[in-house]
Amino acid sequence: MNLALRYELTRLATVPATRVLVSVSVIGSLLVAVGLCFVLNQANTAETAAGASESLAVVLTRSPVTVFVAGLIGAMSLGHDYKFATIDVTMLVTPRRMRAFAAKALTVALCAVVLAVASLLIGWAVALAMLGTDVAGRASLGTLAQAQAGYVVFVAGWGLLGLALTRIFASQTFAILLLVIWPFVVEPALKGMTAALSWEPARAAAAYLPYAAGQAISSAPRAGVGSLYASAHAASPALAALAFAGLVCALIWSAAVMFRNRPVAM
Amino acid sequence: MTLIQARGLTKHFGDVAAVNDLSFDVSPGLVTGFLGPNGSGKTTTMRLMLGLEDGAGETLFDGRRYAQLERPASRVGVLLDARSLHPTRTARNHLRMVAQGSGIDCDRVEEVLAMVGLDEVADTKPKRFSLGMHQRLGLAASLLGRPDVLLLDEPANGLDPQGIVWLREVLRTHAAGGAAVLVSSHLLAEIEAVVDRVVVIGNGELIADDTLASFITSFGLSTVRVRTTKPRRLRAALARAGGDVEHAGGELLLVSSLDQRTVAQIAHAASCFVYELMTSTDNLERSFLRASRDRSAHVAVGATS
Repeated sequence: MNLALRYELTRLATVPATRVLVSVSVIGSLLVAVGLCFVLNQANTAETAAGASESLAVVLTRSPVTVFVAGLIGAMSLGHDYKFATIDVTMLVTPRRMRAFAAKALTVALCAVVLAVASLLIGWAVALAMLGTDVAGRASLGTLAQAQAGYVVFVAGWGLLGLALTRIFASQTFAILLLVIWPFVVEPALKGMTAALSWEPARAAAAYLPYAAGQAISSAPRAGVGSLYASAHAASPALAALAFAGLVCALIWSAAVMFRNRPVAM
Repeated sequence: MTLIQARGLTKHFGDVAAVNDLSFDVSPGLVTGFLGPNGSGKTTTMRLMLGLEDGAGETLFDGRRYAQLERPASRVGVLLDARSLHPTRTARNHLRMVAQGSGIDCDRVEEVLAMVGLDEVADTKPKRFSLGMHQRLGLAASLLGRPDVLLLDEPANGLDPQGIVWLREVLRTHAAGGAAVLVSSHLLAEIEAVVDRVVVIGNGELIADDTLASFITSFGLSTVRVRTTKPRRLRAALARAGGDVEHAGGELLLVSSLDQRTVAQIAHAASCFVYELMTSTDNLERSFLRASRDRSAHVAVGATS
C-alpha cells in the first residue's frame, strides 16, 4: 500500500494541472476571505461573542473555491488515467485493483485535507488582519474548532465525490460538470421546488442535500435573527454530517466495486 | 530466471473470440518472438497475461500471477502502448513516478534515460515527442527495475535504424543474462535477427510454438534455382521425377519438392548444361505468411499469397 500511495502522490504532484489547481485554491481562498472580511466589517457582526464565532467561521469556511478544487483533483485522479490511457501504467505498478483504488482515494483525501488546512490558515491570517486580532478572543474556540473540522471533512468528502463520480459515470467531464453545477443550479432549484410545495418534510430534507449538508457541518450558526447562515440554519450539523458522510461512503464504495470489476476500459 | 507459463488464455469481445484457449511457455535465457497478423490477438494476449484484461486462463511468472508478484513492475518490464503517457508530465517525472511505485531507486531513472538516449530531453513533455521517442521512453520504463522478464509489444515501432540495432542488443543482453523475453513485432525482418523461438497466432489461436529454425523448416519452402541452356528439356525431366517446376523466364527454372543434388543428377542424366544451381530457403517473413495464410483477420488482397 505504501508503494501505491507513493505512486499516486508522485503521479498527482508531477502534473502541471495540479499545481495550477493548488494555486487557484490558495488565491481563491485569499480573495474570498478578504471579500468576506470587508463585508463583515461593514456590518459590524463580529462585535459580540456569537457574532465573532460566526464571523470567523464564515471567513474560514465559506470559500467554495477549495471545495471545488478538491472535487476537480478527485475527478482528475482517475479521469486523467482514462483520458490519457495511463491506467495501464497504474495497473502494472499496482495490479491489485482495490489497492490501486484505495491509494487513489487516500491520495485525494490527503490532498484535499492539505488544501483545506491551507485555506483555513489563509482565512485566519486575513481575519486577524482585517477583523482585528481581538476577534479570536471573543469567539468560542470550541464552536470554531467544530466548524473547521467540519470544513476539512467537507473538502475531503467533495474530493472523494469527484473520484467516485468519475468512475461511476465513466466520464471525467461529466463528473466535473456535476460537481460544479450541483451546488449552484441543482440544489437551489430543488430547494426552490420544495419551498414552492410548502411541504415541510421536503423543505427539511432539502437542507441535507450534499452541498448544503457539507456547508452545514462547517458552520457555526448563532441562534436567532441576524444569523449569517440564512439557508443552512435548518440543518442539524450532526445529521448533516451523517448524510454527507453516508453519501460519500456509498458513492466511493460503488465506485470501488466498479473499478474492481472493470478498472482499465470505461 | 523466470519461466512464463500462459495457460488457456481466452478472451471474447461479444461473440468474437479474440483469444481462444491459448497456451505457451516463454523460457528464460531466450528471446521469443510473438507473431501474428493484424487483429490476431497479440496485444490482447499480452494484456491478459498481465491481468489488464478480464478473461479465462492464467499466466504464471515462476508459478505466480502478475498481481501476486512482489513489486511486479520491477520484476516484469512491460511495453504495451508507448503513447500511454500524460502529455504534460515530463519524461523524467514519468519514470520517477513508476520508480516510486515500484520501490526502485530514483538514481536508476537517470541511468535508463541515458541508456535510451533521452537524457537531453528528460524534462520535455511527451506531447512534443515523436513516436520513436515515445517508444524509447516506454522502453526506459520497462527497463527501470532491471527486470528478469520483458514483455514488449511492437517495441521496434517508430525506431530509427540505430534504435533497432540498440533494441536488438538490449533483447540479446537481457536474454543472455537469463531474462525471459517475449517480443511481438510485425517487422519480421527485424525480429528474425534476434529471436530464438517463435509463438505464432492467428485469429487468437496458436499456429506454432517452436524454435525459429524449426518453424522455418516446417512452414518455409526450399526452392532450387537452376539456369540451363535447355530449360524445356530439363523442365520435363524434373517434372517426370516429381519436381514442382516453374519457368521463371529466360533460362531460369525454380524447382521445389526436389533437393539441389537431385536436380543436379537429373540435369546430368538429361544432358542439360547447368550454369547456375543454388538453393534458397524462405525467411521468417515468408514462412510466417504461409503459416498464417488462413488465419489473417485483416489482410490486403494478395498479401499472403
